[in-house]
Amino acid sequence: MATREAGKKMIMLKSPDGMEFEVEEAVAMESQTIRKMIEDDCADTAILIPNINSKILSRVIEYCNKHVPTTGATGAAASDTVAPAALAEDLKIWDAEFIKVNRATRFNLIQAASYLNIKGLLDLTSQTTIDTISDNSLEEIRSFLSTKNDYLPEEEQTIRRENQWAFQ
Amino acid sequence: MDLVRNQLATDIALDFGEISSPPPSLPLLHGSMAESASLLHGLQDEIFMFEILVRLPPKSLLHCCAVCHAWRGATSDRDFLVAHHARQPSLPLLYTEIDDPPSIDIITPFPCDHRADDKLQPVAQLSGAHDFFPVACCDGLLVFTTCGGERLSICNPATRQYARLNQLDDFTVLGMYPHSPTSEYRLLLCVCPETDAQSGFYVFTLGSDQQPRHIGAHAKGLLQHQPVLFRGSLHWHTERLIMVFDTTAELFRQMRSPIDPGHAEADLFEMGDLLGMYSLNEENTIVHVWVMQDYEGQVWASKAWRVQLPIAELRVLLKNFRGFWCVDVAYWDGDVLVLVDIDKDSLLQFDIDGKLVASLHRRFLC
Repeated sequence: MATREAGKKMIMLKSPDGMEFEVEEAVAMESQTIRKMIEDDCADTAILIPNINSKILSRVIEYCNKHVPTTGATGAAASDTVAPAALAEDLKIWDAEFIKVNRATRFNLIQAASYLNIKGLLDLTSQTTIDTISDNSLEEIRSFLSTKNDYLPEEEQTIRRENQWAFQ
Repeated sequence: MDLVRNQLATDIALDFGEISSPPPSLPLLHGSMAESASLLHGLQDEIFMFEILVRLPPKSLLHCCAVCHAWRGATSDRDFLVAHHARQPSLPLLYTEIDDPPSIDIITPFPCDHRADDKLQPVAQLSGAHDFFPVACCDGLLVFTTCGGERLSICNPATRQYARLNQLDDFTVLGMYPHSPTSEYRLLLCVCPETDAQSGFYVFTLGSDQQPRHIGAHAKGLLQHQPVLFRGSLHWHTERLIMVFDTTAELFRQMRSPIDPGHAEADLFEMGDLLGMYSLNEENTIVHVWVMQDYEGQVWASKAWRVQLPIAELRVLLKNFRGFWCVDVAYWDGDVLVLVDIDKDSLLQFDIDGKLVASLHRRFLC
């Protein structure tokens, strides 16, 4: 294990609550924000990630570890080559498990993915909310997302009338 | 039914100047709601808007307006609308006109959400103006007439802005184009009839307070079709040849057409990075599709596609078929589409093999 990791550049990510995570640079660079910092030589050996607590940051790293491209991995262990389609299917299943979290955690992950600019994680974490809005009636959207209707009945009618085609 | 082949959606921002006025609507935000309430508990507003709402299809976005005041404010914000618009695919503008309420539907040729459905899907609707008729579009901007063609206006459906073009009421719009040296959007206009002392072609810069500038004499035959903007020039198929308006030099030139003059009806369309053309036989039952392989050399593909429309089968399929139809050809998502408007109440979409792939049943007025 130690020999496999030898030569790989490691980087330290710090959360504001004082936790430190040592990760491979390639994994950290799944985040476009971190990638830019590294490429611009703004990152020394440690990067403080503000606004993302250790619990969420550890999950983000877990995601990046899983999704970092393995194309560079060579050696005897990689001899049992997996077909790309099977690999994609495996990732899909893994993603589905990963996103089985409560709403607060999911929202925190959305914010972390947005800040760190990790497109795949952002797509994954925001999809549930997008589906909730796209696939449900107004009443269901309000109920599922705990949003209060502050329209008077006639106001809501006016808005529905303005965009009647969208409600058919 | 009519078809405007220019593309509907790319990111644009046009300054309408002082004449801009939004359509009537409810107040955007209700009292102190804007300051106090967050859009979604537990998520920053900016992230909810620019990471979540921005990914919704246009129809779902309109649903969001009716959820609560704060969501209406967020989904009506100009920066948000421009960001949302930038993510929308570029679609050919197909429209149907309906009279109750007066409006036009913008339809995608293929189901845009990939659902297994053979219906053409409306993706947007413009309403509120009586006798609304689109005359030109470019990069998502739409120039239209109202009041029987007498009044000319422009709208940007993405940012929900519109403006009257008062100074152009006596002109006929031939086309709209981006003028690349200045980054302005301009209209090519003409004054008819030809007997008028002022007749000829004019150019008008959108957003300017100048009168249209006269650029030359009149040429016949341009009014019959919508032009195709291709490689920085507007193209029209006239009876004998192709008229080309270079939008940078703002000069006309001519190109040759592959079909025999006076033989069949023909029109042009954009085919990705190629210029396409279709012609119809006298019975409107066979569509020939041509492709210009070498634009500079004006070389058309010698082997054209030929689509036979299954009119006999349609007579059986459509009980009230009265025997009137018109044909148009468009290009979308890598495919050549043949669109047939039957009796002005059904729009059918055929593939290049003449197979019916989608339909929309609606009364068409235009």
